[in-house]
Amino acid sequence: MIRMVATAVALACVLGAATLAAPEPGGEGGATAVVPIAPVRQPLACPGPLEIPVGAISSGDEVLDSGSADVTYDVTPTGRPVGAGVAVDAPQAVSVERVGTGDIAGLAGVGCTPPAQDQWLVGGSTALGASARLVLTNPTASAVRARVQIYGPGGLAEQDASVLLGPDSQGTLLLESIAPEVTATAVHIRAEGVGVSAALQDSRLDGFTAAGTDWVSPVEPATSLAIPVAGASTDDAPASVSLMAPDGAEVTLALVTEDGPQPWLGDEAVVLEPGVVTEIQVPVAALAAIQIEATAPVVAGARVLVARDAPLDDGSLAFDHAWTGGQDVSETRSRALVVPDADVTLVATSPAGGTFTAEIDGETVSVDLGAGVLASLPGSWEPGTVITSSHAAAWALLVTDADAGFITTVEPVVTELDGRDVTVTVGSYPLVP
Amino acid sequence: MSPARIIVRAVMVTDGRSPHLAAALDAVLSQDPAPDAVHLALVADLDPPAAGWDPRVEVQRVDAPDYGAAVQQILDQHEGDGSELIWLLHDDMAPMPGSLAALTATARKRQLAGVVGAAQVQWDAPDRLVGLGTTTTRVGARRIGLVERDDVDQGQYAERDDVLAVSLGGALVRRELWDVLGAPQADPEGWTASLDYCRRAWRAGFDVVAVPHARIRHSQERLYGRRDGAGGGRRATYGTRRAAEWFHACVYAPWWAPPFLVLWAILASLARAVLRIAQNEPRLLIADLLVPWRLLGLLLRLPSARARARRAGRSTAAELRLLAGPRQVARHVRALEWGARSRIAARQAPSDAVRAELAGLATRRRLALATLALALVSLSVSLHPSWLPGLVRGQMLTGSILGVTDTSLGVLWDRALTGWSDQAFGAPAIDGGLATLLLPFAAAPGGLAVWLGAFLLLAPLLAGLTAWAATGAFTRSLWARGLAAAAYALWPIALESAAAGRVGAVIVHVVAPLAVLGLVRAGGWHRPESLSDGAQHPPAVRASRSAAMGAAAALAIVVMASPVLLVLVLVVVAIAGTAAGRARWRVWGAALPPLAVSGASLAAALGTGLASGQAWAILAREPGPSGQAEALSAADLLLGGIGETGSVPAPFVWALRALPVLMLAAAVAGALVGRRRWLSAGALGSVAVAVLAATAVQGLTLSPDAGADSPAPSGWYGSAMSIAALGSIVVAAAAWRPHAADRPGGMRRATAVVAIIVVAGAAVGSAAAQVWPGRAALGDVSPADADVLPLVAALEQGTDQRQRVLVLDSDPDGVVFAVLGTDGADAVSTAGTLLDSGQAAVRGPDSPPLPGPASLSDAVAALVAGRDEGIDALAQWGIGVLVAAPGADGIADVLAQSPDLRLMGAADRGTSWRVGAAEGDARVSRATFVGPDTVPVSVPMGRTAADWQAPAAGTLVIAEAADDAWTATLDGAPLAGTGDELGRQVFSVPEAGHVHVQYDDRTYRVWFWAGVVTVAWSLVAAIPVPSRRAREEDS
Repeated sequence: MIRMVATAVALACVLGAATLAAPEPGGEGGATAVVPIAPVRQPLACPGPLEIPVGAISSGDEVLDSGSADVTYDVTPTGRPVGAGVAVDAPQAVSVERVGTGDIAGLAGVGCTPPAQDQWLVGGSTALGASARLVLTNPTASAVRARVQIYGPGGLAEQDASVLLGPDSQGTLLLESIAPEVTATAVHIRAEGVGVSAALQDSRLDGFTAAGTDWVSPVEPATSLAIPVAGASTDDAPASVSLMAPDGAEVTLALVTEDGPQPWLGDEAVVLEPGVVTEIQVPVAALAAIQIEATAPVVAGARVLVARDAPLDDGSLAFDHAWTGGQDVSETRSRALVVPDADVTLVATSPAGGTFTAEIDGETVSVDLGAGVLASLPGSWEPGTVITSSHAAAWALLVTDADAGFITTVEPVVTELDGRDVTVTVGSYPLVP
Repeated sequence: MSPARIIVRAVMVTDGRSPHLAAALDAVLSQDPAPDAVHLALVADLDPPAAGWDPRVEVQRVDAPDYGAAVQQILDQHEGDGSELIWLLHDDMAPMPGSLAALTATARKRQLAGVVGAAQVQWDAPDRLVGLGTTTTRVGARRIGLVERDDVDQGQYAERDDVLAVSLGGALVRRELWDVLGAPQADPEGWTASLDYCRRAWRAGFDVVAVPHARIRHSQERLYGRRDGAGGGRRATYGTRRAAEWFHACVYAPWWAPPFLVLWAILASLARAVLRIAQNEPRLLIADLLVPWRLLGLLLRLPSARARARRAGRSTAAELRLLAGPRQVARHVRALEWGARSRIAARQAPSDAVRAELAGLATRRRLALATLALALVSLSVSLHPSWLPGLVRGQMLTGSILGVTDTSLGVLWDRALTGWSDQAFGAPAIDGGLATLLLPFAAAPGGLAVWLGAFLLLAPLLAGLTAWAATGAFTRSLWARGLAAAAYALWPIALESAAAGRVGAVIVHVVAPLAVLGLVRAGGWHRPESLSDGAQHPPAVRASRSAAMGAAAALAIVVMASPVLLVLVLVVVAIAGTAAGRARWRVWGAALPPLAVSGASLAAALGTGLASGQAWAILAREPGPSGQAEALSAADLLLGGIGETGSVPAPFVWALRALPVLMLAAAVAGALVGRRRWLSAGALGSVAVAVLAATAVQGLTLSPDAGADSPAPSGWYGSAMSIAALGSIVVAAAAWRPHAADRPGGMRRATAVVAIIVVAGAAVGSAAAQVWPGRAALGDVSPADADVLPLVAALEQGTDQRQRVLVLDSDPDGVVFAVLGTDGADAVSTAGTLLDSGQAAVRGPDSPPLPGPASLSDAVAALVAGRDEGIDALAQWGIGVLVAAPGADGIADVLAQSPDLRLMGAADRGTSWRVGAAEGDARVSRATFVGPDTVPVSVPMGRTAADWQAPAAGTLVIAEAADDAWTATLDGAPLAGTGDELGRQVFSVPEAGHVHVQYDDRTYRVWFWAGVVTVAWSLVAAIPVPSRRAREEDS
């Protein structure tokens, strides 16, 4: 009997034990420290003068020559040479070049940028007649390796590139040599440590006729962004916008002008496949901006074309173009640009509206922004004037040479120094992959 | 000398303690012809018998310390002729009729016979021989009887005459010889007195002759220790006999030999001690260990004994011829051993029919075992198809939990012996952990990588075989054994443990069945073979000493591999001992080795206070590889913890999931229908406790394998669940009736056949699911080349500077880094050493937390941010090489920018940079000396010790975590040691001199050796070599 009881008790114990729930699991990760790294101001790097993509052809005929005698190139403020480029020890600087004639006739302006570890350049093409020249500048005293990945309408290009830059040196990379026949490119540049400054020269040629040259400036991925200069767009000279979401996104586009929101022909909502550069034509409009809302971080840039009569005088048109990058409209860090020696118009837009305020030469300037409006402020500021704003808006300086039919934009550069947080975890290392 | 008339003077000496005195006197007096004179020498006061002494006996009280002196006194008082024969008699020997006639006839015939000995036979069984002459080896340290003990006297020795020696008891000694040699020497305690006396007789020119027809009953009161009332049997006098034999060897050896003989005696006693351990004969063990000391005590008498032997004369060819040669010694030993064995075999011999059936059963059993083994080998190899080729190629198995497995014997030995763990910046360990267990693997040719890899690979096979052995103790049904073993081998959690490299749990899974087998045989609860007629063979099972010790060793190994099982082991052993009856102490003794190997951890757990929760983490620590795992409920665990199965066909998945359910169902059914209810209840109770432990342990945070600051694992349920699985198959197997499936007809047979088919189907399906190519991986262990770090980095670790290597890798959240003192993270030698607040468990919760790599976080962050301000902090901990892991290109790019780092090389294993100087005194080093010029100078150091000449006064800095057990001496004088602000060990050196630094943890060593000795003892004692006595008692 007692044995039966013992068996029953033992069975009951097993059943009882079987009802135990899983405890909160023990264990913990390795010691993790988030270490703030104090920022150090590095020199800005300006990419230097434009280069004729296929080399200068000199025939003595100014119309046919690919080069030009009518070139002005200014970097404000001035700095020291780094390769062909210029390193400037100032929080902001601008480089504007005007080429009067030849294959790369036009205005090309760019705000000089400090070295960065991770940046995107949205713009350029490696299709026939186009050249995308990536200029990487290392204005620091450390050697840097930069890794370049190219995205296009077909997604990430098979080949990527790695460029080793010595201290105070510059390297250029013709993207067509890596990923030819990509009609719209977005370039991802990563460089650890101090980082690298990057800019992309997008030059296009239509036969013997210049079809536009400009610098593409770096942009950062964001979910709510605006491109301050995305028009005028005309039937002859349609503007276009390039969008790319590294992880894919759904985006909604809104076209705004000084007169308010404009209808977008076709679907406003666009689905972006991961890594695929999507190019969309901008509807006909006057000076316009595009506001973008996305479900995941996207990078964007707009190319605005200005038509002029071709120098051959055969009725065909020549173009200049201007690339403007999409800016995070929630960016509240202080940004600044330097006014170049040209006709300039300050344009700003923000989906939230409000009053755009900027410090110009020590004076505060305010512009009312409607929610769906592009505000423009033509200025006659002295060259070298610094415009600073920390307003959460997308803004830029539209630089034009109306007589020559040239256009470019200068985008502000963040002047605040970013402290970085590095997360460091103690782990284990048993494996070789 | 008159050949016509020989006087025989019988002298019997008594101390009155023999019960056979009267019978002995009668036997002497009734001889025909009777002795001419019969003397009874009383060496103690003795009352005459009621009827008075026989008038023919001349009774005399003598005052003599021993037998020879007593006889001498008698002879001194009774002059006699040289031809007189003295009949030396004990009070426990009775000459059989005609003995004296036979002896005197021989004495008359052999004029030179100085000693004429009789055949001694058993007192109660006069047809059994006790002795008929003895000899010894050339060395003389082994006395060899010339008849087999208890041999039946069938006249087979009738021809025997000249022998080296006879027993003086009952022998005739010619007075002439007695006058030459004097009385036999009683020292050392007489055991070799006869041998000594006879050899001297040979040397003195006399013969020693044995007379087989003269038979004397001898009750051997002294040999069996009965004379002093102790009654200890032959073993009681074993030690003194052995010592006397060695002494005899010393007496008759050449003049230079005695020191070597003493040395030999010491070695022989140690070797015999091991044998005694194996035989489980503690009294003989002590006796054997005491033999050399007894011998040393006797050596004072050696000169006089050698002088006596020399006086007797030189050794003669006759004497040498009669010494035993090696062949005779071998025959003697064989006769002793096989004699005992064959006597038992003869007693137990089954009938021919039974023998034939047993042979048939054995053939079927071997066939079944071979089939099972073949199936399990195929399963083991197919489970991880890449492992075997990898191991054959010379690769090691490695994984995120397992770590590297090519740890060298030297490192493991140093780790086990010193207790200093290399993890992080070093830590004092509680115990040797797996390092001790894995030493045999590392010592085997091929090293740890091969054997540990083979062990993990063949774990299902090994577990199946041990489970087969264990279930064989509960059922003799081959189907039940085979299926239970297969189910146990296929236990999903154990397969997961092996695939994830959780070595401790795998060891438990393989060894635990052996512990069960040992315990069951130790208690005598195992099933004998059951025969077709319902009889059993052997008819009665006996508790086994060796099995108890085997269980002890297996339990110790189980507890070393998985300390959390200690409590379960103690409970099981306690209950089993209670039920073991006479064998209870033997069974309870099996708890000693597990306790000995857990001693240090129990002390540490008690030191932290059982209420703190920390104590449980210590008791549940996992030596060797451990890691985090998803927590499962008890029900999930009982169902085998099967998670994702991957793309396995559905029927196989069902089989996979069904097998644990069937194991449980079989256990429950077994508990309900089985007849061995106590066993079932005990086993089920163990299952319940194991499930409880397995569930609870998941909630514990254990000591991190990689040392302070590194990721801490949660408890792993694998080992406890192996016990649960084992308990289930034990209950099921114990309930299985023999021949259940063989007997024709009836429900029982149908049920048995259905059960066999269902379980076999589930086992086959489960095996198929486990080896299916699309099966979701159970773990990440895979073969890899043994070099983990770039060669340039690993080389720096092996120099005298013992530089550490900082490995940096990137992950989505930032940077992960590890500090490595070895080529890859070594988890197999770690042993749960830290409390969760970072203190060394063995130093208690009040000790300061051990420094860990987290103190380098700022330096590492600065490095990966492109600064080099942290380099000094790295060098202070002896980090001489930075390695950017393969794929961490970003980190490599940043490190490449640092002007203070020098690129050593880029390789598949990562890119390495050197910190500090490449050569000379300015190299980064584990130990540095800061002298008067304040520039740190590299000091060569071993793993836990350094010897070095200090050039001047200064400070010696050891880049290891400070601990009281670090000791240093300057020219032999101890130096004061302390921890610096970083937590490193520093010694202040007051002047130039020879500095010796060592990690010397005495408490650890005591526990370590206690554990090693007890486990080694039980392992040796588990060898089934019962002593003759044990065999005879058992039979």
